[in-house]
Amino acid sequence: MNQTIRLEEYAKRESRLKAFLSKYGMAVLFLGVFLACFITFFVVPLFYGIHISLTNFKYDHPGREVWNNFRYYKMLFDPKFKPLIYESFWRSFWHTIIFAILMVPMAILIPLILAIFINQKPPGYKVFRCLVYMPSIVPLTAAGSIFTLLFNAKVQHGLLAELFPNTIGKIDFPVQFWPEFHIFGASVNVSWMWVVIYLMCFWGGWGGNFLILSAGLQNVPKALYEAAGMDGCNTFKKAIKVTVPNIKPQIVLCLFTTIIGYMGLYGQNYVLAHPLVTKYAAQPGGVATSTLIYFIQSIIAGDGNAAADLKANYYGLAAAASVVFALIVGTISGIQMYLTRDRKTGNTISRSFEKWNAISR
Amino acid sequence: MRKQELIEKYGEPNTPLDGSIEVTPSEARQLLKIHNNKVESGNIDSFVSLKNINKVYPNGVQAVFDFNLDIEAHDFIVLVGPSGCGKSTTLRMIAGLEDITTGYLYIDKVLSNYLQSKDRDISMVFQSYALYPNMTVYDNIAFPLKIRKIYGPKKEYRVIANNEVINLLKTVPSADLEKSIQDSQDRTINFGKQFEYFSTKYDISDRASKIIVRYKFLSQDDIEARKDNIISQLEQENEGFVQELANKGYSLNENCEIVDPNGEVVKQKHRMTKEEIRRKVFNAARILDLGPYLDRRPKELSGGQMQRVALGRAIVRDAKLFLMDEPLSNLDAKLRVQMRSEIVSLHEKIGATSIYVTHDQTEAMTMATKIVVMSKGWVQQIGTPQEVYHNPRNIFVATFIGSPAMNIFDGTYNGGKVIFQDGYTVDLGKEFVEKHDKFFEFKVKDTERILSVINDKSFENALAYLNENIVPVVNDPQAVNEALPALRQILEGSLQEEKDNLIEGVDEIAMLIEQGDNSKYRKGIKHLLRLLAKPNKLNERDIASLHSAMVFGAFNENKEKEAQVLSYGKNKKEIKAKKKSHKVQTYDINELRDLAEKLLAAFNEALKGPHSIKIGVRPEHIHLDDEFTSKNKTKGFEVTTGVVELMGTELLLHAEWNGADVIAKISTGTLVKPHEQVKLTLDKSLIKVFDNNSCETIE
Amino acid sequence: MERNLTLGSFNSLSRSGTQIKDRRRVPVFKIVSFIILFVFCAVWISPFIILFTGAFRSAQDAMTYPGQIIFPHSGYTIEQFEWILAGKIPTVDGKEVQQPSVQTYQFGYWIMNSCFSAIGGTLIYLLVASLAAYAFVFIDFKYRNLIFAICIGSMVIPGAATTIGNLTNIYSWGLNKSILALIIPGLGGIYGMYLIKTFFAGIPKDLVESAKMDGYSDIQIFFKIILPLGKTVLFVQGLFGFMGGWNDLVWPQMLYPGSTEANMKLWTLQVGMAYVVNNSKAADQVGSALAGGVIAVLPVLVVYLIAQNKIIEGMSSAGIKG
Repeated sequence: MNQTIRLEEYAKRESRLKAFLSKYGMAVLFLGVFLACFITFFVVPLFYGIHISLTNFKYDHPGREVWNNFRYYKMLFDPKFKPLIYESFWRSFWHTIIFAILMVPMAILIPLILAIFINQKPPGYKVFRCLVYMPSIVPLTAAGSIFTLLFNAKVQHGLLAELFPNTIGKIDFPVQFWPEFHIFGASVNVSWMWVVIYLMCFWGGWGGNFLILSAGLQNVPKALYEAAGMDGCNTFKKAIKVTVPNIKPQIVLCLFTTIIGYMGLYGQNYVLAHPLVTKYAAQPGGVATSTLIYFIQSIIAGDGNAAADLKANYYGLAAAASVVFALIVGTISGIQMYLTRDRKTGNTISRSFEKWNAISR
Repeated sequence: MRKQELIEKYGEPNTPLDGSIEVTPSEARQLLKIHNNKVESGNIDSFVSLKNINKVYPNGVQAVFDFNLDIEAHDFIVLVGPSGCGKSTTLRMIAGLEDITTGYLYIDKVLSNYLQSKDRDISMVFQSYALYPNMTVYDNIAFPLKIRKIYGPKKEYRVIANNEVINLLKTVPSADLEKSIQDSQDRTINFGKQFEYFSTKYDISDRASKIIVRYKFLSQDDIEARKDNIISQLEQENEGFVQELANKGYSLNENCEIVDPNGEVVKQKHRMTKEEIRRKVFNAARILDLGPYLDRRPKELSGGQMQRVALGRAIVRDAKLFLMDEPLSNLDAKLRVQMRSEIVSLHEKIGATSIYVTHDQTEAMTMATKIVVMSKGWVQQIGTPQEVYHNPRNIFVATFIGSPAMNIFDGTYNGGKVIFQDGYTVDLGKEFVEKHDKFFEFKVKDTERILSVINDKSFENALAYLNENIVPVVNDPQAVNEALPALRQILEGSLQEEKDNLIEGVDEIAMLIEQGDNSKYRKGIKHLLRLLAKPNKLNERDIASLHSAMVFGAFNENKEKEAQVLSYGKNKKEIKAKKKSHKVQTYDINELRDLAEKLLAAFNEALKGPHSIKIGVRPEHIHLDDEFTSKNKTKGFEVTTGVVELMGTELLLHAEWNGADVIAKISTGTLVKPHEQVKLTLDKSLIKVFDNNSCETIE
Repeated sequence: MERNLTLGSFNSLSRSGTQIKDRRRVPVFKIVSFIILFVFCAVWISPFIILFTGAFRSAQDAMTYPGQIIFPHSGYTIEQFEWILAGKIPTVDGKEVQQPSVQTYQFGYWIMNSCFSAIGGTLIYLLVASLAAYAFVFIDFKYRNLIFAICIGSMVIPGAATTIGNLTNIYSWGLNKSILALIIPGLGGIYGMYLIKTFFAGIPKDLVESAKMDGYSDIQIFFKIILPLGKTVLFVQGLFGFMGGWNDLVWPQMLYPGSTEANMKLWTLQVGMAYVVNNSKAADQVGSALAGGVIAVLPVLVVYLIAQNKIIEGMSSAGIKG
């Protein structure tokens, strides 16, 4: 015989179960796909990448790799192990860092100044805003075609070389280098092409910063300026005491997004020029304007037979380089998170008030 | 069992089921589905009933303790208390937005603890109004109607529409009809679409009005000419529909409901038709005066209008129970007063049972038919506004209700006389002495009982007995069975509330042994061991009676500490400590014993001789000596006035007297000036006296 | 057109300025801003002009009159477009332009792949991410905050750290011959989910509870209430996603390296264009790169000019919140 049950009991049990299932069922339904994607396309590859960098992994025979005693990290950090790769990597590294740092003032100051002008709301400011942001939507390959035309050498009828034959016309941007100079005993060769890359980034690289800063400026309450004026601030002091503290979060945001963004510099360099430097010709990142991502990309995504060799032999090196890259960028983002965290104010003043209150009575 | 049989046996679908019936699980599942989870249980008389409701949040904080409340139909209940007292949590539990940890909630006799909120047939007005910003006012009000399905007979709407048209053509004079047709085409009169005019004017369905519009009558003569033709055509069409049904074995009854071959009316879940929704929304708009705003979006409305839309959305549902969570707290003062009276008159109009949450005692006093005063998760007092105001049960209620708040003085009681700090004496008479003695006698008895429960060792004894005599022989059913009666005896002598539970458990073990079920009785014994291992627990009612003493009374040592933590509590360690101390609200039994013992001593003391008390006088019971004439008048006393506030016909007079700030509310034409001497007097009969330790009113 | 319009309003402003008696009220700073912005914008949009005129200049003109860019010597022509789209090689001095050994360009495939990657990928991501954001804000389940904290914490790790692993996985799944590989790694992105979650957290919980009391299920609430309310943030995130997908170069280049014919059909517009630009640096060929540039920039530019107000406001608000 079937067991019987009090209906009330059953209803209670059932609805409890239903409530539980609906809550967790819904959570799984809503979150499941995303978490699955997050794990498959972020967490797993992250550790897989580290694994690859530590073994003699071959991308065409996965699963047979063995631990290789930090071979690829030695290539990156031991100057004597593979001197050419070592030099090529650190060349790329310094290119990236210095470029990012040089880009910061331009990518913050210029948009800040323009944002201040726009914030005056001169006639047609919306049109100006639209035009100022416009270069930022241009795909870098399209921008690359423009800057190729602009900065081609005189023999290739570069536009600026045609217009200013005695100055710009004398430089062959894609091929020539700055005169060699020394920093800390290291001899440095800088390709003239860096100037073009810098200009191209400068043209289309800070539209986002501009929008963020001008939104930040607009958000500063007018009453603050009025109050500061009544407290005796002149225009300059208002800017220092009111504007800057109020848009500080935006400035910090722009600072870090710019640095982190240019740490990943690759497309501009790839599109504009990639003549090889003879010394590093057969190495990863052997082009004149190599960067960290360029270094990785030249192993993984190169075109032609030489590149196929690189990919077969140095796949793990690319993984190791990207781990190093991730560590650097992760540190910078970590600093950003630390700086922009919510800070508690503590209670030192209330405590000293407490003492004052007790003594002065 | 088949659905039909179940319906025959247990009643119509969608009606509440008797919860005590015994059925098989599969039947239960079917039944619940048919009856929409409605299970009636117990003998509940009131409309809404909350029994022993407790709420513990997952982080361990207990927000509501032992909440008991019975609500009659058409009541307007107001839950009032300072913020964090658990009133909103209670409301959200009734609404089904929070789980109920323990206890029972019955709405219309249906056990609703586990019902989803949409099945509870309640509607709610939220503090932030919860209007959908992307919808117009009309859509906002119509929203609950649009998504809800109702269970009802399946009707043949095509036949209904045709019948309506036939009826219209037959009964309404064609001149009248012609005018309506002209009016419906007039853009200045009609609203929305042409057919909507007809459905509203003649109270017919949209489908019928569309048929009329489709005929495109030109004039009165045209109507007359084509009328008979149309009627016969429609009737023919109807016959066609009926035939169509008959082919499937179904038929229509006189209400155009579809009847199945067995002669039963077919019922189904269906949505409301557009014209029904429109009628209801427009009706609500009429009641709430929202007509001009129906096309707007919430952000274009003022606070008061948004409030009314939220009310409208709640009332269109015709729900049994109406919940409001501080609905007026976002409005400015003037609007709040206006909306207050609007809600009251709305309640009178529609008569729905309402539960209203607020922290504003004025709202509670003016709106409620019954007030529930809460503090720190405990109910302090339940009663009508008059009861709560005139007979507050303890010092918290006395000071919380009434504005300005009641003046509280420290004083001494001595044989019917109340002596203030400066020696000012009021003789409350013999009657009060009797009251006083009775109060304390009761308190002594009650505290003794509580102490005896706390000190009850029966569970410990039972546990010891169990460990000594049963656990060693647990594998021998016969020996266990022999040892059980003694255990039962020990438990029967217990004063604990849970003893019945345990005795039942012992009986069950005995029964299992008799049945020869070896595995289960051992489990039962393990369970008993677990239950007995728990420390003694007072029931919530007794904790409640100690609660006010704990929080407000003279033995409360934590008060000072708490204040300090609040003002200088930014230190991380202190915050952590504070969080910890607030986390687990279950009471330590040793603390309770200490408290009960202290209280007992104090109560005994109070019966013997003079003891300190608190004296409460409402501002409106303090008068100017020259102007007050009454036999209850006390001796006058002089004070120097501080600030004097003129409130129209009344004066609020602040002064320092007996170490407290006295506020007197004087309804007089005499203008008292600040910083001058005035002579005041009290109304003896209205003075409240509170016990200093339990903080309850002595009466 | 724009120039006339702005100048006109400028004149009317200065006129009304002189009518005010108090001379200090003349908005000097405003006028200065106008002039500076005007000059700046003129310089800033000149590359666009070069792009468009250069793309419509014949190869012959580029060789003989290289300085004349805005008004080419023999007028505008579409021969560069014919070259890259239809393979019709233009001539200089009667000889065909010398083309290095390059494969035929596949602009049709590239545009299609880019659209798939940018539009399809963005739409799928929006759905997945906003569902997750809803769960994080409105569904109360155990370990919710922990899971969210892990997700947020992982934002410090740049995407580059996972590309090699992802690529290797995609090789082993055999997806490197499919354009599906363009979009799937993006579906696990945290940033967009975080942006949407922040917005959802600003929606009053009362709305959801009220809808629940009226009988909506979570799915109905999500689609009928939360999504319509979250239009702005979905638009912004959609924009970010589209721009990211359209402009991405590194990932598709890794997926389909080498200019074999099979690979070229999988390329996106960016990879293809990089190939075109790299192979068209000589003076007589650069026009074809510009023509490709026009094709790459035109869709984005048109969308931007139509919806610029919304785009700019959306981007600004995201910046303020994020």
